Amino acid sequence: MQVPELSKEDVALIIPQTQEVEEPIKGGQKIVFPCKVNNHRIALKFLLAAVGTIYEDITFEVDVSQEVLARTRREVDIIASCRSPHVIKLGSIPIGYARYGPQELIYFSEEYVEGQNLKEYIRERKVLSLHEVCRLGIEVTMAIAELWRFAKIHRDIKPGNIMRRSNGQFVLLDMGLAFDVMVESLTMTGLITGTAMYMSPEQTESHKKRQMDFRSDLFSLGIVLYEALTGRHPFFDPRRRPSHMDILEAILVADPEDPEIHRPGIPPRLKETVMRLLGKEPHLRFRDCHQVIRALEGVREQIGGR
Amino acid sequence: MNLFAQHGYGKTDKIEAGLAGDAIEGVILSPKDEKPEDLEKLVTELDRDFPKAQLLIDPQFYVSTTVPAKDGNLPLYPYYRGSLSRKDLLPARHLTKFARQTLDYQRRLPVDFLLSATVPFDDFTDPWCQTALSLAQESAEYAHKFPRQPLLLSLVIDETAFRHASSMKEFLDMVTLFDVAGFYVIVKRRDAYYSQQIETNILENMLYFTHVLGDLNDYKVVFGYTDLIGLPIQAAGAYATACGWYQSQRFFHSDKFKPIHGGRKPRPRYTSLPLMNSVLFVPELSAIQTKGKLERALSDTEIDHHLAEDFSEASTHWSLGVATLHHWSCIRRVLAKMKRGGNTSDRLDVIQTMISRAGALYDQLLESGITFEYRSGNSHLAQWNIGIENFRTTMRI
Repeated sequence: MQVPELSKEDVALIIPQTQEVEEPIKGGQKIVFPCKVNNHRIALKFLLAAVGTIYEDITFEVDVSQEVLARTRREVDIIASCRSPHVIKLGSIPIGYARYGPQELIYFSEEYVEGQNLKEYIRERKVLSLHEVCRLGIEVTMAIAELWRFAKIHRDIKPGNIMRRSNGQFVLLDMGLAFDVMVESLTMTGLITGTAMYMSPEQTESHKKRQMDFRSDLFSLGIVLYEALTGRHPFFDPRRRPSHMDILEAILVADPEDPEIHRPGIPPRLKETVMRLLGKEPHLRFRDCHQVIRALEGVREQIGGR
Repeated sequence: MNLFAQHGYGKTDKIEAGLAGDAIEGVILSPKDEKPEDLEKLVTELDRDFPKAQLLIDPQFYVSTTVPAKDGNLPLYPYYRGSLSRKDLLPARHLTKFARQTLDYQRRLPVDFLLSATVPFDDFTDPWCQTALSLAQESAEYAHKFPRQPLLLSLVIDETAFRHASSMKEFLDMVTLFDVAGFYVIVKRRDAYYSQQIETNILENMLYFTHVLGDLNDYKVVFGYTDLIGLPIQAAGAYATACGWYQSQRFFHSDKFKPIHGGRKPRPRYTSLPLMNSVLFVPELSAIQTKGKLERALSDTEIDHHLAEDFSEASTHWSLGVATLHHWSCIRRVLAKMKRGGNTSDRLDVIQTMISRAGALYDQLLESGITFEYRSGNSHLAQWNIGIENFRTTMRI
């Protein structure tokens, strides 16, 4: 995996206004430094301008530095326009380009979210309460809807990209920046972008050049919700370390088990909504995000309380 | 679940009688068959006299690409263009103009839905399909300015397009992104003769198409030019189906708008729900009566009670008007039964039970020596049943 080689001391040199730079977190193709600017915590992100990553274990180099910068700028503009509280906000350091030693870097900043990553949150609890599953579904769908207002799709919705704030609110991170900026160059090669375990069937079939839309993100959300409900992935057991081919095949053809098998007592409407999100064809899911939100709000009302 | 009259030539007072007798819930009007001033008067009067009736005008823009066309009064309408070639439909500005003018004409009339301009296509992958989608896009964008008048996007699709499930599914992926109230669908049949028969995989995919749009994606799907085939289509999730009085208003064939010479009046038919078919009044229904099996073949509507009481007397008064009201009443009876069921599975159960009983009745009648001509026969029952069964398997319903 190609991520910039940077230390917190390097960050202070590249962007002098940063304070209290903390140890970095590496994720995907970015390196993230929590730090402060004017006493506000932000997450400062760096990525290499010339390298794109397809899978976590495959690196594919593309010389796209100017293109990456221009398109990242457009993406950042869209995030700046997003009004949903469930979409991560930009931080005070604007997008920039820097040469540091032999590395060509693009950096930008996001708000620092106090809370816990959904991946860890599920791991700790095994499953989420029905109420919280509904809230997760509603709030991430709101984020998907907000992106779709700008004809954008996230392409990488997974527990690792969802934060649960300390107040219980869910926020979608990583607005597909890295993947989206690479996507044209990468799809030209017939390769696919995203995290395989959470891909939609149409994402895995990028060679068919099917136009994707927000319903691809809804499928990925369906996987997340199934996991949050049952503690299991709907298509395979990750502990068995399936190959990429196994994963892609399962997403394309396997039917998820009835979540009731793993967790009795799921309200039928919630089960129906999650299973519909996992429809193999986009037209089998929901035609707009508000339908999903309405369905989950209905379940939440039905179950009441927390 | 609604039944609409498919208006056409020779309406007399059938529409008013149908609405007054609650045999239909609405009307799809045909500009080809009325001058603009007459159509406008008709829709205004229907709105005044039957305020609950759902009124639609099928702009029939799709006739524009038929050359030469038997387009009746259509050239008198401001939005209609005759003899359009593909070249005429390529420039975006033309599509914008056609889409807007078609909606503008309807907007000033008391209709419940606006219907968009479209062109017919034979396959979901052919260039005409792209033109139809472009017209739909233009219409949808324009209609957003008038949110109080919901838009149905018109689609005129050759039945053979439904043989190809994968291209149909890609088409569905595209059209389910339209932010409109629904779709007005006409399936162009290949067989020029009226019949209930249909290929099983075409029916299966038509049901899939309807279910995806209607039940799953909450669109209002109105099928024009249907007959009893409208029953499984409604079971799959259509909002309404429409059928008229002549056979040419109960199925759509591409020759419908081509000049024809000659032709003769069709022989009177009787709609038998127990047989799930329309049979010839003479000699088929009369033969059933002679064999003493009439009650089994009657549809149990108000009109049937007269037939049961005095067959020869009632049969002499079997006019087109009576036959039309009877046909609509039969369809309404089944729709009412399906409504009680609730979900798609229950509705399909109603239809499959009827198919199964119809098969048994056909067997009994055939055994007793009654013969049926090709189109009155039972071949469609197996086709329908297999089509429905395959659809249910695919959708796990």
